[in-house]
Parts: sequence; C-alpha cells; structure tokens
Amino acid sequence: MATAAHTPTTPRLKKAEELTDLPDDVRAELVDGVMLMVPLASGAHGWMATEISYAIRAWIGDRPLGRVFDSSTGFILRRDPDVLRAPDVAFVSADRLRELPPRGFLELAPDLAVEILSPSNGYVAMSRKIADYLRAGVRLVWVLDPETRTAAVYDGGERALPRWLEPHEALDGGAVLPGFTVPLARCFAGLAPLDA
Amino acid sequence: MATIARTGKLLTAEEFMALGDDGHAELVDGEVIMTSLAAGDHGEFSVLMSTRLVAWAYPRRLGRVFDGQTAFVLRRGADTVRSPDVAFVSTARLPAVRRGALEVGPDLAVEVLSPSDRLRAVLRKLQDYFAAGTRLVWLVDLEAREIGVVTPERPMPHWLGTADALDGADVLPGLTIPIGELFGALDSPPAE
Repeated sequence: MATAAHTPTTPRLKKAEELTDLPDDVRAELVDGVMLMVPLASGAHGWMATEISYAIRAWIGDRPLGRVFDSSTGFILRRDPDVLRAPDVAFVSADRLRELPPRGFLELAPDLAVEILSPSNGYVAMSRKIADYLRAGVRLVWVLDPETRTAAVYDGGERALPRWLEPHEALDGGAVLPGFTVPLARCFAGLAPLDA
Repeated sequence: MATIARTGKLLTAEEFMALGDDGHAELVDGEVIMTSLAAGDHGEFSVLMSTRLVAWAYPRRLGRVFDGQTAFVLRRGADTVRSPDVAFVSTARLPAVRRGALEVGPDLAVEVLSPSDRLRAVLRKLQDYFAAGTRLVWLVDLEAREIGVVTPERPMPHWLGTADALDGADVLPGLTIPIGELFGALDSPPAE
C-alpha cells in the first residue's frame, strides 16, 4: 500500500468552466488542470483582505480607474492546461476591463494581486501561485506575511527577487495604482500581538 | 542553543562556530536560527543526491561535495552562516583552508523543502546564496516529487518533474540526473 501514493496516475485535467458548477460552499483553484481546494480563511485573514480592498476602493473613489475584486473571484490565467486562481484581493484597471461579463470567470490577469500568507501555505505552495501570476502578466504582487508583519513586493516580473517591506514601511501602488499607499501597520493593525 | 537565539546578542561566524556542533542551527545576520533535524526521506534524498554529484565531479576534478552539516560563511558584517542540505564548490572557488567554516558561497546549493518552510525564510536563503556567488540552486519538493531550478537570473523556480532531468549547466558541465531515478530510489527498496 505504501507505493500506492506514488503510482503514476494521470487524472483527467479539468477546464476552468467545470468549476463554475461547483456547489456554493465549495471553493477551489485549478493548477494546471488539477483542482486544489481553497480552505475557508481565518478571521485575521478575512479582516486583512477586507481592509486592503477597502483602502484601494476608497482611494479610487469615483474615478474610472478600475475595479477591485474579492477572494471569491476566479481569474483564468492560462489555458491548456487551465490555471484558475483566486487572489485574496485583485485590481483590474479600467482600460483592460470595460464591462463585466454577467457570468463566468474573468479570463485575464489582474494588474494587482494580493496574497495574505496563512500558516498552511509555505514557500512551496506560494511560490507556485506567485509564478502563475507573474507568468500571466500580473504587474504587481503583494504578499503579506502576518507572522513577521512584513510584505514581499514583486514588481520586476519573473526575473527579479521580491523586495521586502519591513513593518514600518508602506505598500505602494507603483505603476498600477500611481499615488496609492497603505502602511503595513494599518494592514496588520487589528491583529493581536505576536508573542503568544 | 535555543536560549542564545532569544538573548538578542548578535554573534560573529567564529562565535557561532565555537558553540559546537551539538545542535542544528544557522546564523542569519548574526542571529542564531534553530533548524530542525531532517526527516527520513529528506536525509536519504540528500545522500542520493550527494552520491550523484560525487560520482560526476570527483573523477573529473570539477570540485568538492559537502553534506548538510557543513558551514558556509555567506556574509561578513552581519555574519551569515548557512548549511545547504547538499553543496558543491568548484575547484576554482574552493578555499585553500577547509578546517573551519568555508568562506565561500557554494556554486550549487541543494535544499530539500518541507511544506512548512516559510516564503520569507526561503527567499532570504536564496538571496544569501546568490549574494555569496552561488550560481545554481535546486529546491526539492519531496511531496510533489518535483525539483525547482533557481538561478540568479531566474529567481522564480522552474519546476521539473519525474519525466525531466536536472542539468548541471555551467556549474557541473555535462551532468544530467533523471529526476525519476532520484525519487524512484526513494520509493523502491534497495537492490540485493
């Protein structure tokens, strides 16, 4: 039986569209055609995602700059095999998305993707997700690390290591949201002290 | 050792080495970071990988292979001492003195990852290696049976599976290791 786990199997690869029919309470991403369940978020995780979305949305105001999407939104990043990802927060600029399709996932790469690390996703899982974003053309990726109150900023494409922001620094919209900043301290402000 | 990590006193590479080898730790910017002992498959994979590297490098005098206990001083000032699971140092860059920690970044570093390895910790490690002259890093994902190839020019890992082969590139010219063979050796009992 011990060998069963490593017996080469070729599961049928799924298409992104097959995931639109999932029951309401099931959330999943598609990584090269293979379904990956997305667990429910912790309180801290959900709060931080909301706080960041709100900061961006409030900063945009009535200006036609683009749209902010929550973590239930599926983005088709690649086809054959299909890659469907759901960033914790995403922003798509107006010039790339005039009107929202009434149904179906968005078949484009967001301009900004935000991920918040949880104890369950380490380097192995997260580096794959970030690589999917960068390869699909996401221009800016923020990865917030609640454990160290820091963040990694990917704004140099696939060929650059990220810049790390320390707890006293701020996230910057760069070329995607010129002029937007939010201090990391605000993103982590609602969290209990680390020394528990 | 764990108590030292909490005092906040920054150590030099020499002070760190003087702590002795009874614990498993690395020094990052002068701070002692405890590392856990390797799991069985992790430790065995390291041996399988070292064996391949030794078999290729030694007859050709390309360089030397070091195990996961070996200290590499990657940075001075904020002293940083790391020990990759497997390391290769080319003959040209091999320090003359090897009695203490090696004052060089390995040309090739192999790191066996566990799912609990944090993004920040791994990225810092990669940064430390590249700043010290490392040209090639192989990140091993035992669970997925994949190996991520990372270079300074391409810091996002390029993942290879059991149908692919590792290439020594310009670090170990001519070396090819079929990944299926490496993982296959983990899965099947040793031959009689």
